[in-house]
Amino acid sequence: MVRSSAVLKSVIFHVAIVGAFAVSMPFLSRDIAPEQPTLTVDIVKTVPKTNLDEGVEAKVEPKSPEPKVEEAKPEPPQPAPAPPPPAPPPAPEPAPSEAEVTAEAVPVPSVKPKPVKAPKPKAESKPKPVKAPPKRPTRKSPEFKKRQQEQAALTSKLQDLTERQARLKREREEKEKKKKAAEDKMKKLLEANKKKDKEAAERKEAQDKLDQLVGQALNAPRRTSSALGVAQIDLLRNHIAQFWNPPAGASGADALIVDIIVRLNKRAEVREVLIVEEARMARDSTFRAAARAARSAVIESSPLPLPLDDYDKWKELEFEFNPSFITRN
Amino acid sequence: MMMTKIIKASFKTILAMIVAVLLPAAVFAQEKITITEGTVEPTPIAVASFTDATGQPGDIGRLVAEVISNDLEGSGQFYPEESAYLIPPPSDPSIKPDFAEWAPLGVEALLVGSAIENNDGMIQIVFILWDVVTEREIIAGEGEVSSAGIRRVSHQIADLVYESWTGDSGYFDTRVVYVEESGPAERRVKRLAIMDQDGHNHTYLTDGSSLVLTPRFSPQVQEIAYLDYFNDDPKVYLMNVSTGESELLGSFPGMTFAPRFSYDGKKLIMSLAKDGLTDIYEMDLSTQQRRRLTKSPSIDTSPSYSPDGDKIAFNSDRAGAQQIYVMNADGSRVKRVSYGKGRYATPVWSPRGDLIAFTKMYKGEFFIGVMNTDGTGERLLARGFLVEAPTWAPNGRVLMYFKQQPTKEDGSGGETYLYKIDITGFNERRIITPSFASDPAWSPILP
Repeated sequence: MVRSSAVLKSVIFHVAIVGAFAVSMPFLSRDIAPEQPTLTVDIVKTVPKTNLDEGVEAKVEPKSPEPKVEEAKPEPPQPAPAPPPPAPPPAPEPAPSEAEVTAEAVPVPSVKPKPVKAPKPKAESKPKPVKAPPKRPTRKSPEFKKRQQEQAALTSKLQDLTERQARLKREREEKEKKKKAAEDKMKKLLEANKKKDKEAAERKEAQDKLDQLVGQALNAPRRTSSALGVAQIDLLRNHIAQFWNPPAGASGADALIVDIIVRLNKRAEVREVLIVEEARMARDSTFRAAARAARSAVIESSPLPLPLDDYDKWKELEFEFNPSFITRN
Repeated sequence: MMMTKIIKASFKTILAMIVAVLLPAAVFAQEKITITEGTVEPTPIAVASFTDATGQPGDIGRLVAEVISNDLEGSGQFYPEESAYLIPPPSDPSIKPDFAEWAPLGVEALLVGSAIENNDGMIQIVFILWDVVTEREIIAGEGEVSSAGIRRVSHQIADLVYESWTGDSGYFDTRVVYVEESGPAERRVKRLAIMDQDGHNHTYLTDGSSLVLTPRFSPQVQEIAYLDYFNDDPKVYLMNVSTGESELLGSFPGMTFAPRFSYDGKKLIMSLAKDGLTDIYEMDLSTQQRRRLTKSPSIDTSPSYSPDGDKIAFNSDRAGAQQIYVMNADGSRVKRVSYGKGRYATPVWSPRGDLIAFTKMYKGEFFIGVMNTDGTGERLLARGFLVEAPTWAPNGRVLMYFKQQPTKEDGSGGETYLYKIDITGFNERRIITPSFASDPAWSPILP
């Protein structure tokens, strides 16, 4: 019995303490201020007086053939690259000398650029004497007074009319303004919708492209040999080597490397052979001979010894024919 | 909700970044298959007889095909398929051949053409070279020639076939001057003779009244420098091949020999033996002024210019045995380049500048070989009892020389013949001459 009362006392005591703590600690219910972002401040020791100095300095290019803008000299005339059949319009700058034009003009043998003649300055027109405004009459007649009164009445009417017109105009302008504002609002709304649609379309397009690229990367057949095993590559090498008879007599023939791309059908038969440096064949007879030998080797070695069930791995292959063995032996 | 969106967005961004990083590697990783071994052998070619006006192979057409075949085979770069004559060629070269008929022969190239005689006696020649494997036209051409020029035009076609197939310049339309030898060994008559590089169109240039040796063609024009023992006084002469006229080159005290032209044809270099010394001299052909280039108590001889004229190769016994040396064109910076076993002589710089041909004597045998200009990469191409006087074809890929058989005790033997070989060392072929032949010299391409 004594024990239970002691427990009760203890409970009451603890509840009291907790209650007092809750009342005396109001900050617990206060909203926490959002964390302020950290500001980074760079301490700049030397600050240029004006931005202009830096700007001008940055524009200076030592090898620039253009004359500096700051220089007061007139800009050298730039001859037209290819003078059009009609005479070019007269330039406002001083006309270039014939020698300058000939030296820099694009060579068009049949058409000689004509020196541009400076427009003759027109004779300065003499200022016309300004006529003096007519002098006001200084004398006021009774007729004049009467006319003045009529004029005043008329002016008053006119003022009323003007004010009325102005009011109507203001009202019309306000209406138009409101209408325009409504139209603008509608236009902006439409533009915003359009922009949203466009962005959505772009996002979709980008996503599609991304999906496509990921697909290609993960699933698409690669024209590399990395998909083929070492043993398969060796087999391929040895097979083609039997048919490759590079021209050995020409000077530097041992250094004539020929790259070719071979496209195959599903039976591993050569469908197409592309010489990577096709353009070189037209100008280099030694390379032409080497390329012909490489092309023949691939065609003669068709069909290639490749695993037919892995078509995607070898449907397009790139070969390098390196004839350094000619002088190695 | 917001957090979920952020996480989703971040996930997409990260995925995109991963893809962006991996994608180029996946798509553009061009790992090529490198072919580093092949077979270097003559290209099998079918040279079809050229057709005449009837569309059938005619006599002229057969001659053209024969000359071209011989040229190509002699180069070592082609193997003309003999059975090609069994297949009828297209009646006109403009008709595309049926490659299915030619491919079973194993040929990679096919030359077809026509040789049709006009009413005025001229022969119209048309030809096309085909790649049998790719069925592509490699080169085509046409021309008109008199019957006397058939062999020459055939050599020219062979040059075009050679050039278009190998990428190298041809050399078939050239001539060779050599020393023709006749009579018994003790009373040998030696005359200068000239012929096409395949041994045809043979003509004598001298009458045999005096001994002639070491003819050398100018690399630029149809002129020959040679040594003539006229009145038992050996001197170097210069002959115009077209006119047959000779002139004495300078008048030197002593014996001049082993002349050779510079590659621009403006200078002549030779040896001059005087007072027991043999040195190398250079002569300006326009002024006939001479300049001494070596000054040594040894025997310096067989000089040969490099194609750019900057260097001279020669042989000398200054180190004891005969060896090959290279010096600057002014005689400075003499450097020995041959260090192999045996004695080396007769260096001849290749027209291409990449090799020096030489004669080597080792263990009682003679060899013809080539080495790089610094003496490395020595390769021996031919051997025999006596093998001498290498001369380069103008494209620097074929060498001609002569071989002499040993003389027997009864005085018989000692025959000399001309041979040529391509620098791969295969396909040595004898050039048929009317009599014994030595000291060949190859002309430049005919004008």
